[in-house]
Amino acid sequence: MSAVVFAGSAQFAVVQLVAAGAPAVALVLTGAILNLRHVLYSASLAPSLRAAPARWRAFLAYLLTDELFGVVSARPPAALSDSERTWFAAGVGGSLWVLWQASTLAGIVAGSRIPASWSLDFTATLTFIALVVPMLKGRAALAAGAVSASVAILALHMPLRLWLVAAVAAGVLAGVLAEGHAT
Amino acid sequence: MTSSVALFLSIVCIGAVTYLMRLSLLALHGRLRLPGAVERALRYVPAAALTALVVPALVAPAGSLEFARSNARLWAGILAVMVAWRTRSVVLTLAVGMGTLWVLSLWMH
Repeated sequence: MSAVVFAGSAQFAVVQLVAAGAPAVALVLTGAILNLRHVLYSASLAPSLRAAPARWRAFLAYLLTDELFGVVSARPPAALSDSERTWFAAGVGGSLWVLWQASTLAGIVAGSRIPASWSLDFTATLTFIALVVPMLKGRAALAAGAVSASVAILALHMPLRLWLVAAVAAGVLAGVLAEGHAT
Repeated sequence: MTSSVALFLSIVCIGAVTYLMRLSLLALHGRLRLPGAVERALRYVPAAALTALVVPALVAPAGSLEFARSNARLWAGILAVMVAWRTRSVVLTLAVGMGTLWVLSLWMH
């Protein structure tokens, strides 16, 4: 899954769903929804990578993650020429890929020897916390998070783990409404 | 339980969908523009999705709501949120969260 999907949050979420015995439809739906944000990353990086040939863009698309997006976006546009930017993105993306695959392998080899009482599954939740807390800035994002959390709790017993879909839809709607209200 | 064939197919599907989404606007840039409203809405997807994963994992670790004092994950999670908020550090958040969970579960047994 690390090689095919290459996306942390979707992989963690799908693993948790598999452990909970969720059906295949729920897995695909969850993975797709969690990775929907990549459409936006794709849109946002497109202007700065416009000089790259189509083949390179197809390759970089495979490497596109939250981290790559963050690192490449953090570079001021003037700091790199168009071709340097392509190489920079490929270098960052390639390093992230190698590290991710190596860590996955280490997990496969060592994972089954680690007892369940160590609660290492909690690291997935903690990683999400570390990623989401900086995102909850401003009224609209806070509204999105709060509504999403409330719906997730209220809808916890929905079949197919559809609560996740319901919560995200409600959260996004709340964010858009709060933003419209503020301006 | 999902069979291993279904699981494999699901993973391939997720990979394909993810790749197409990543490629979508990189490849179509200049030929297609997302409506502004869609673009604004997409901005809230990460915050909403991650919160929806975190909160139930803390308040209902075993599948049903659990606000009891014995829910160690809830306390460890609240502390982790504070650490993440103050430090923005993934490593510190993980260290404090896991440390709290271990200490609490030792103490409660």
